Amino acid sequence: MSELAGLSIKEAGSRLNRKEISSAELVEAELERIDLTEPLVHAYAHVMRGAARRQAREADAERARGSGQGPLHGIPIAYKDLVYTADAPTEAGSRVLEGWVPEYDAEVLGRLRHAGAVTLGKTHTHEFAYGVNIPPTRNPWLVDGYPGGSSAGSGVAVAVRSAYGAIGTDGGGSIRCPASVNGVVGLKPTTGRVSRRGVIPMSSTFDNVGPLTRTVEDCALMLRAMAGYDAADPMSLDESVPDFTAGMTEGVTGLRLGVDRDFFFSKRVHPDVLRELQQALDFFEAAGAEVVEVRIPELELAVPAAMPALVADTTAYHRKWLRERADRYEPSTRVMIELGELIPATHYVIAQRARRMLRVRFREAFDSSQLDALVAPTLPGPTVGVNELNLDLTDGTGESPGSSYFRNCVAANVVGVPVLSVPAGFTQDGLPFGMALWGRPLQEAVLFRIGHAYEASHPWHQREPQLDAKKAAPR
Amino acid sequence: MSELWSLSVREAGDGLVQRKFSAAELLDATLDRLHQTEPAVHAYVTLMEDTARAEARRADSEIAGRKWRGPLHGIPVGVKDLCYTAGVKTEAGSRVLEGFIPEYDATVVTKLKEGGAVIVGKTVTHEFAYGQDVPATRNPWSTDSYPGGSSAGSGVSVAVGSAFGAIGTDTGGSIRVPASVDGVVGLKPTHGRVSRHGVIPMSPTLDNVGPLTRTAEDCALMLGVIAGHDPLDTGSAREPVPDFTAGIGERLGGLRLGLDRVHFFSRRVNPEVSALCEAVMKELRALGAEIVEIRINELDYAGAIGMPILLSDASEWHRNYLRTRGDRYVPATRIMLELGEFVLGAQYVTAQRARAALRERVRNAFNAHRLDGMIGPTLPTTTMPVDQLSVDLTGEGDTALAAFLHHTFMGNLLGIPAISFPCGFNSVGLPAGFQVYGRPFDEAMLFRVAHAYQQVTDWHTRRPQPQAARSPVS
Repeated sequence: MSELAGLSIKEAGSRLNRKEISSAELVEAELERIDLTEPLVHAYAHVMRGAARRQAREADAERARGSGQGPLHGIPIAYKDLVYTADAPTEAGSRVLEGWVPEYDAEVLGRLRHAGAVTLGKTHTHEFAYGVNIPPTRNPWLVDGYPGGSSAGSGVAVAVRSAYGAIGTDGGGSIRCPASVNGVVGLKPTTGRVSRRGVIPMSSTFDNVGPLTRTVEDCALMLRAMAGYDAADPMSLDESVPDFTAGMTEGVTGLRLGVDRDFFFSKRVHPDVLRELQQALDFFEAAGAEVVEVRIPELELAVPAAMPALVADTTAYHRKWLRERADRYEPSTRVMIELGELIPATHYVIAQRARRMLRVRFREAFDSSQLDALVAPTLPGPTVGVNELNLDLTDGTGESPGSSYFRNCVAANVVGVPVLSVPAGFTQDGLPFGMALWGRPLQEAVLFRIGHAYEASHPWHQREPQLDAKKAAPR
Repeated sequence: MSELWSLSVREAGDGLVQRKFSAAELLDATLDRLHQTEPAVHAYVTLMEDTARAEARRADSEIAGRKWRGPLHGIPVGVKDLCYTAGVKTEAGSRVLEGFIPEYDATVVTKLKEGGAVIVGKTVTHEFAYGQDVPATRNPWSTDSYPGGSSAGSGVSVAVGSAFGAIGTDTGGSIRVPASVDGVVGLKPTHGRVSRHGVIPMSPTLDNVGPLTRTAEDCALMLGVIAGHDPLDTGSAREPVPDFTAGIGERLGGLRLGLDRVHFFSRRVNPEVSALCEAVMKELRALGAEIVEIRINELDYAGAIGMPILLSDASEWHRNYLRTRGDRYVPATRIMLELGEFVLGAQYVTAQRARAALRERVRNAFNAHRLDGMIGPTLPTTTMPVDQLSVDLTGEGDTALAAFLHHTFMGNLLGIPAISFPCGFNSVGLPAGFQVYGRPFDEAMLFRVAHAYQQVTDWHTRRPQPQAARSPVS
């Protein structure tokens, strides 16, 4: 692997600013990396070689003229294929949108382009982010392993170093899940922090757009460029965007970190995950944070509160296509969309009411224990083989790995708070898993601070998956 | 001097402060009028005479001690029976809540009390404000006729003088409809302007609480008392409450009022109502307003967009009651609640999405034409005998209620404020109303238009003399 492909965004940006390297070289390094890794992991739905090379030349020219010193200027970034690209197909992993090219760029892409980022390509997603089918992407740490979803390609591309950073979307865990199982950093920002205009939706109240990166600092740099008010997104928050790296290195002294052991640390959680997470809590205490035991019983309501709303919202978006080109959906997606049509509106209204209550309870828990963040495993375990995704592995509780992922993540979408997933270790079998840091609304900076302190002494992110061409899964 | 019960809130308040009469005398006059008119109109479901007398006495001693609480201090008012009153029955016009006594006051009631108002009683509503049954209340201008709904008793009590002002609620027109057919002023405020905490809901995103009064100025005074942010209502807006009477006397020069003739003056509108409203527009032009012809095609879909939302929200709230005491509903209400359970979630979401699009179209039209408001008849007709309510009045399959919604529902969907004020009488002496819609939180403009009109007309000063209906009701 070219040494360039292994750099973080921060390192690559520094070297660009010192004129040691060019953006064109970064793009070539990544295209080379793509050629090498794609046959094994299938992270990309569409590689935009021409656009990437052209944009890199422009970035280099700008830099030569003395403009474009920002941290993302000239950095190649990949986008989940739900994000509108006016110069490339946007198919959302579905034959329903086969060959479709949008007329405009998504707001988030426009903002990153404005910051000088280079568009490398479009990454695979579960069909319409619904997480029901299995996309062609594979986990780089496990042959024929689940790559996480629905931002599967975004997580894998960052893990195998075929993108410096990638954009994902998260309607119920779809950034955090691939971050966890691929061993990268992923952020679900506060709902409303990043515009969703020009991003194919699941649910307007659950969806978030966020970054996946190799380091916490990179994640903070990307969020700054992506975030900000957009009147065209009705959920967008008119809030100022801080420098998220500002207090990042201050450490965790004095922070109060909550732990809900009943919900997040039950016996369903993989023992290696439990062990490392406890080690992380010990680390935080030793570093000066206070670990506070909390109980938020309403977390159990997150799935029942989410499902009617999420499913009905998604079905409403697909109503017309379901009637005009239903045969083009994956059967499993189609069944979910059709099932969504059976949800009575009264259930939808009750779910929204339960959601408001959950939001109040969540805030009360943070306030009464004066928490800065909640610490939890991102998922109860590492990845599994794609064939095991829907098996009941929980000694009879009836929960498949896929549904346990949703259960661990969706409360953040229900209440709208930010969650940062950082790599938190490897199982004895060598599979990565993540730690989730749940924060208060708009307090992403606190999460970066905690994540950065942990990462600095736990450099799990430096491990690279060893791809073996001989064991490649057939596409 | 006029009889005490017929004064405006402003006049009565001035009289109290100047000690021309006492709050106790004002209440006595109001109760006399109430007992004289109730047999014919049935505006009240529960009278609160004892507490009212105590409140009046307290107002008198406070005013004597120069502790004046504001424009409603000592003024007798009515409150729709959807509003919680601590220790006083609150039944929402339904046997489902028979004998229910809340433990606390609705925020709007608290604000009335803090403002020193004297609460005379609870006014009659359609069952749970759904507008499906025919309540006992009758129209004071024609006592076999519909009093408007669902804030029926609120409109009628103000019209006959058994209250100086009254609180109503408006989910699809339930303040403006009684205001129009009873010949009084009614305001649906901007969504979020007045707290709904402690008010039995129909739909959290469509419901509004607002005042009914005899003059525009009274309406502004009353809104000033009841408006304001309330953290207990999740839909409450954090907006400062201005003095709504501040610019009320200004002329209308510079105001631009949009007129969508296709939507508001279609052939469904009764010719007499149409002529009365044309006369209002002539008057408004003479007062300096500019009337701008516009067309917003999407307004015609307001009913189709609003109904799935209204039906589902109402059915969700009633879900438990429907299962545990379904037999206690009036059959017509029960049918609507049961129907509401068949609306699908995807339809609800689609309706909310269409609602957002409609809001954008109307906002764009306001901006493109630089409008301050939109105008038209409040309703396409005057009132009609209660047994004709469900009759097709238009030859197009519209019942009266559906035709009413065509004119009023858009205000609830869009969340914008709307006022109805009396604009004359038809050939058989029934009042009609004129409606002005405004920009969000610009209620002051609505009061200004209505007040200017009331300075040059006297429709609002006419009081009905109701006689008991030929066919008695109970």
